[in-house]
Formats: sequence, structure tokens, C-alpha cells
Amino acid sequence: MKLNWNELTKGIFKENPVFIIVLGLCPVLGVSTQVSNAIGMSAGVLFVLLFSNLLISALRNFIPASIHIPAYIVIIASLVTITEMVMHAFVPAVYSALGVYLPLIVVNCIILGRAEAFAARNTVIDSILDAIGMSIGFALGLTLIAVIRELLGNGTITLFAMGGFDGVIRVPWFYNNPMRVMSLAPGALLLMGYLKAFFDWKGARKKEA
Amino acid sequence: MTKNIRYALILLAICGVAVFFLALTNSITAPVIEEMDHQNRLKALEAVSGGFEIGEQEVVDGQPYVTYRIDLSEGGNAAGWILGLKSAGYGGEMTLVASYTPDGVMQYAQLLGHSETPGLGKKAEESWYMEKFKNTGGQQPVPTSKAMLSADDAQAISGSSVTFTAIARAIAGGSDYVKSLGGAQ
Amino acid sequence: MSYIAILLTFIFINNFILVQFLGLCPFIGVSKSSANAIGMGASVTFVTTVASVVTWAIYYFLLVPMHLEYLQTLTFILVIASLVQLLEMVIQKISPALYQALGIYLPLITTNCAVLGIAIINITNTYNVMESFTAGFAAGAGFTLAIVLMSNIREKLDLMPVRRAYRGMPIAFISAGLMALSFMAFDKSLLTNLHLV
Repeated sequence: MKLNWNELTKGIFKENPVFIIVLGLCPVLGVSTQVSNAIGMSAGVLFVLLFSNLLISALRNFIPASIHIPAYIVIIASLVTITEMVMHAFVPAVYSALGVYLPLIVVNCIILGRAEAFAARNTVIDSILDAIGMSIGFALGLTLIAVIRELLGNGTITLFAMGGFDGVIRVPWFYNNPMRVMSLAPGALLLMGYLKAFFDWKGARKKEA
Repeated sequence: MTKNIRYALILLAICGVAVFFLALTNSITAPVIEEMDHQNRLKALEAVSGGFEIGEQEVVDGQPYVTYRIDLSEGGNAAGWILGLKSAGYGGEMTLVASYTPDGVMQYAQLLGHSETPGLGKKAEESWYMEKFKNTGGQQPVPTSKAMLSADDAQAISGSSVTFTAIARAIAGGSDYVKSLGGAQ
Repeated sequence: MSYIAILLTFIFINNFILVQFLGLCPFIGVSKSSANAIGMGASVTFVTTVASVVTWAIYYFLLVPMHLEYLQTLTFILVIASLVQLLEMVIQKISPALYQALGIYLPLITTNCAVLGIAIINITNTYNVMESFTAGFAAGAGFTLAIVLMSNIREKLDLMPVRRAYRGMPIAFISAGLMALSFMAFDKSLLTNLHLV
């Protein structure tokens, strides 16, 4: 059997959900104050997207077209709730940091969008590859924004505590000269604008070349 | 008509399976979560008790900040109170526990739960934060505004003055409540 | 918390779009003309207000007595989806004129983070039914305020010489960022200073 690798890679660059299609922005801007939150959010989205694509493509001949939206919503909401409960029990710090943005994965346009545009009319294998690619693309976008915001806004990079390491990397110079506004709401919007301009510019240059 | 019934049955089947899996996950995670909350509370009470014996919890009604009280004792003599406090922070409610001497001087405090902006209000979770309130409430008033802090301390809480005010008010409210209990009991 | 405090909190201090980023997709997508922005804002306000009360009732009268709090997300999104459908039908029957104006926005609202967001925030903040109603209305009003201001800015921006890479979405984000900067003037200490908390 030949895997269609294009389904995997397109989500990472060509159709990156964050910068190119600009989907699911609420969590991207909301939780990107800390790198650890961004990683937790990406893990949640990966889990939900993977299983929703898998289930929906497996059930695509079983679910009639006229009731597909409510059926998808039930499947996605259940997966999100499972993610919520598991995170609450086993990674409480991430759970409380993500707050309202965790249940809001339900209405994240990426998940329903991929279900409708891809999983509903492709095989299970392709849908899984699509989900993984899109999740990686989402994770890269979210983590990039989080790294820039946390570095400039707080001078730190927060990962997960392990052993003697408390999980917080304090970056010299930046730590003593934080630009607080980057951690706050306006910084997220401004940064998103500049990054989107950069990716649009790169896209346009590629087309001309 | 039969088509509609078939659709309804399919939706119902999906819902049924979904609820089953949710119930299953819940039955696994709920005890873990409950145990964790219980442990966190015990640890917080232990940390603020200052080594005194922890008594029974009593619910307190009709107070703006105080939700429950626990008496502290040493060898049968009253040594103070632990109060459960709540206050409105930047994003919803914050809960904390704090211990007081019988005449209302704050000893130790710890944050239990909050939904403050990560990176800003989060400072309140670090231990040095609560130190700023230690031994206040008696002779020395609880610092409820930045102006009442030293310049260094005010700088340290910059960006989270709302969280600071919320915690300070709760601690001051608790102190007043302890004083209203009349000290000796 | 007094009702005025809730209004101020959700319209200015925790503005759904500019501070919490809830409902950002329609904010960027539908803010190109001010007529559309007003239509979208009115629809969202209507739905957040009704959904706040309905989800509150379902949570406290159905889920809590049956110890099914963990079904919160699932029930809320289903209730919101059905509610939006129902509203669409009712408005179509009662007022075709209103339907003409709001019709095209209603289907978009189900997946608007703002609606599910306010339903969940009402529960986390343990609001009572009147407070939920106020919060729902205020969240919608804050959304409308932001999207209408934004559409006015974008109508002006269309006439300005903007560098090509910044045209469209990037400049919209940057304008939104500058708006958010000015909304930072509304701080929770406003409530403290007005003695509302």
C-alpha cells in the first residue's frame, strides 16, 4: 500500500491552518502567552482532530448527508470532553492554564472544517495523514507565536518541569527588559498581523518566481 | 417519514455511543481529580497552619470574603484561625486559604484556585508574593494598594495590580472577620 | 457582582474580541463593511443573550441534579446549534424583514467561539440567571462595539495606500492590535475605583 505523503505535508506548509488559511485563531492568540500552554493546546487539538477525522471518515457512508453537521458536532464535542477530563486528571497545571480555550476546541474552525472538507470524502488512511499534517502545522504556528510572545513579553521560555529543572528558561537580557505588551492582548494581534504579512509576502514572491 | 425515523435513530445511536464513552472516561478520571483536589487542599491547610493542630471546618455565611473557618489550637488552647477566602480577580473568582492569630494578624496564605492571565496573575502562586502580607492586619494594616508597599515590592507586582488588590482585600476582610470573632475563644 | 460591573467587564475590560480573542474569525471575516458588521453584531448579541439563559437553565435544572456536569460541553454546543436553527425559523416566520437582514449571519454563529464561550464563562463564574443574562447581553454588545469600530477602520483603510504584503488581513490584525492597545485603558481597577467590586 502506498501512503499519500502529500496529504501529510500540505498541512505543514502549503495549507498551514494558522498562517495561510487563518483558521482557529481564538486559541492561537488566547493561549500563546506561554510555550507550555501552546504545547498543551497543540496536543489537545492533535488528539481531537486525529480521532474526529478517523471516526468521520470511517462513518462517512453511515452518516446521511442531511444530518451530518449535528452528527459531527456530537463526535467532536465528545472527543473534546474526553480531552478535558484526561487533562484535568493527569496534567492539572496545563488544564487550568488553558481554561475556557480547552472546551472551545469544539468550535475551532479547523476541526469542523477538516471534517467537512476532507474526512467526509476521503479514506481513513488519508484522513489520518491529513489530521496529523494539519495538527503539526497548527502546533508549529502556535508554538512560533508563543515563543516570540513569551520571549519578548516575559524574557522566558516555559517548558515542563522535569527533575531538578523547573521548566522555565530565563533568557539573559530579555528577562530584565521585558516588553510587557507582547504578553497582553494587543501584542498577540500585532504579532499576528506582522507574521501574516511576512507569510503573504513570501507566498507572493514564490508565485512570481 | 421512515427516512426521518432512520435519521433520528442514527443520530441517537451516535449520541448513545458518545455518552457511553464519556461516562467511561469520567468514571476513570473523576476519582483522580477528586483525590487531587483533596490532596491539594490538605497540603495548603498544612502549609498555612504554622504547625498548630487543625480543627474542624465550619461554613461561614453572610460574609463578603470568608467562606469557611477552621480553628487552630495548641494543646487545647486556641491559637488562631484558618479562613477560606474568595475574591474577584481579573478573570473570575480566586480562592485562597489564610491563617490568622486570634487578634487578626495574618500569618500564612496560599492560593488554591484562580483563572488569572498566565504570566501576570500567576506570580501570586509564588511563595514570595504572599510574604508581602505576613504579619499585617494587626498593628500594621494590610496593604490594599500599591502605594502602601515599598518601591521594590510595588515594582515586583507591576502588571498584576488587580490580582494584588483582590488578594489584599480578601486578606483584609479575613482579618476583620477574625477580629469580629472577639479573639479569645 | 453588580450588574453594572458585569456590563463594564464584558463590554470594555474583558472585551470578547480585543482581550479574550473569542469570535475572532467573524471579526476578521465579516468586518469589511459597516452594514454587515452591524448585522453580525446584532445577531451575535441576540444569540449570546438567549443562549446564556437557556444554557444556564439546562446546566442547573438538568445536568447538576443528574450529576452529569461532565456533559457540559456536549450539551451546550448542541443546545446552541438547535437554538440558532430555531431562531432562524422563528425570525423567518415572524419578521421576514429581520430575516432578510440577519439571515445570512445566523448559520455562522453556531461555530462562533463567543457564544459557547459566554455559556461556559457563566458557569465557571457561578453567575445566577440574571447575571448570566446580563453577561450574555454585554458580551454580545462588546462584540458589536469591536466589530463595528473595526468595519469603520477597514472602510477607511480600503482607500489608503497600504503596502501590498500588508493589504487585507495583516493590516486588519495590526489595526485590531492598536484598538486592543486603546482598550487596555479599561482595567479591572476601573471597577475598584468606581466601588463596584
